[in-house]
Amino acid sequence: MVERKSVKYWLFALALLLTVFYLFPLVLVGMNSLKTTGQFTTNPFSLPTRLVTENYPQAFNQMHFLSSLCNTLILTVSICVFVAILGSMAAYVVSRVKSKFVSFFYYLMIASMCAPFQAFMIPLVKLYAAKLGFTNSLLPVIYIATGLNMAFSIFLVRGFLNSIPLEIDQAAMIDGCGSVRLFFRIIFPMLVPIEVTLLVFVAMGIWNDYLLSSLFLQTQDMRTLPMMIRVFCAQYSTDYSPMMAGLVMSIAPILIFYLLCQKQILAGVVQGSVKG
Amino acid sequence: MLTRRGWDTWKLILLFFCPALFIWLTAMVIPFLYGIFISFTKWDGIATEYTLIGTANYVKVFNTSKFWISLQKTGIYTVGTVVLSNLLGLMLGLLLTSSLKGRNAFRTAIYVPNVVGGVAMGYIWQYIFSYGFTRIGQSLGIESLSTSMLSDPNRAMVALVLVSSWQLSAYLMIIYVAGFTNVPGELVEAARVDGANSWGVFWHVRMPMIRPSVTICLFLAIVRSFMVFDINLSLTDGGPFGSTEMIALRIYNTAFVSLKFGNAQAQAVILFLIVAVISVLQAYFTQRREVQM
Repeated sequence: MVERKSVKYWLFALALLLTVFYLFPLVLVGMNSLKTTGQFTTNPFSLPTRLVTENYPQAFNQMHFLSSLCNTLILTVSICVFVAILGSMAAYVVSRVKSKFVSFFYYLMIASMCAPFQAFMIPLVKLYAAKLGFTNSLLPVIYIATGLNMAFSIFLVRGFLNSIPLEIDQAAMIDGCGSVRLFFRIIFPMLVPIEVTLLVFVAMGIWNDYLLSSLFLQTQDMRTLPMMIRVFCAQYSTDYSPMMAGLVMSIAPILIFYLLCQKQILAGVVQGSVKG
Repeated sequence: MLTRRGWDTWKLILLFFCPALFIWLTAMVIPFLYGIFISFTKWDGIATEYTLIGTANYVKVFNTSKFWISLQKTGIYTVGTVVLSNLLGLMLGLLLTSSLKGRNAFRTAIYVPNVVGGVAMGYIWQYIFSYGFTRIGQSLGIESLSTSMLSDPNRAMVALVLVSSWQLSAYLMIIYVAGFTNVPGELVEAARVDGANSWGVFWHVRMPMIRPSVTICLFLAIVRSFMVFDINLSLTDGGPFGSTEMIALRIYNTAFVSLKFGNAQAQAVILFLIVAVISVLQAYFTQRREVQM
């Protein structure tokens, strides 16, 4: 395909302009985190005249950064592990076993993927916090988020499993390999590509979750990063520059993660788009 | 063919399928059914006893003008966001699949607003609206920009649509990019040889080929907008004067601020029904397309 050179330059310029449009809010936050609050309120667009670094330690303390980072990490990692392992085990059964019982629940799970979280929110609080007494603990959040992501995991892994030939299972079974060993030693290692896609997608959702965590985690030492942003931004409403530093610190980990796994994340967006 | 039979099959189901099934049932299905029950009760969130009050919550919700206003606002917000985000996403998808230097780098950069969570993004934009745009308005002498958009009911709604579309369009871009990438090059080439101009190629070749992506993106945008919560909470918090309180935030506030859990759950059930209808429509349209192909 031959295109005129000038058209190419115009397209490039347009792409550059759009990139600025999509990135300027973050650049602005970064820039203003290095200014004083006074400089911020008089002109948010000016470049910092001298680098003010005091905002960072102040935000670090006010946000209880280490404990909220730890909580967010614990949640994200443990939910990912459960979703990946339990989800692919179930997907294996859906893909390989012909059973009315299994397919009935499988289709119900698929249907449940599009239900709004608000439909479960109040009963979840009532059941897990009020009746079972799980308040101020990461456990109910881990358990519920695992359940909410389970259908998606099964759906995604099942699609991948269907492309793995049945002959592999049969060869292993003829050699006397039991189902459990067959799955964990032979099938599961083959699932790595789809697990990576699934996990980066789930991880980003959990990392940025505010609503579910806020239902079960109340005290300061249990809060997650997105919750901390909210408390922090609502509380210190006159001290803007430390707030900017806090935003930078809470965004940085997920941004680094994104830059490392961007290929898998963008692939996950396409495959995850069926979920809604 | 070698297959598992009888007891072996059930052992596998029990061992491999049932743990996932159990967690899903207890985290989604049981709470959902229990939620329907709660919507028929009066409960303030503190008392351990319920009073069954039949359909009174639903009657009350239907007779509350604030509920209808919130639903109407959600509708307006959804229409605005769906149109704007899809137009932007489509344009980005088209641009970033053209022969452009460094288009992968552009895709990576433009997607960034979706990496940052809705709560953080809402706060960042709140500062931009309150301090950034007002500053520009004041120095350029533009009346409408010199006061914060977030302090005026109508303009706050516009701000919410703008920020949501800004974020969502970058997400839809990726799906449109995948759609445009799958259009066979020979088809475009053939149309060019036949004398089609750029617009003709876009409208008569590319667009019909990416119709499945359009369906996905439209419904994704509809459902996402209808359930908007995070950005709503941090950007406007429903204000000013409750003018931008979308239905999801309203449910949250009815439950955890006004402590009317039964009433809130009745609204949640209605939201569920609306989303269910949208999803059934989506399944219908997606399937019809597949038959045609």
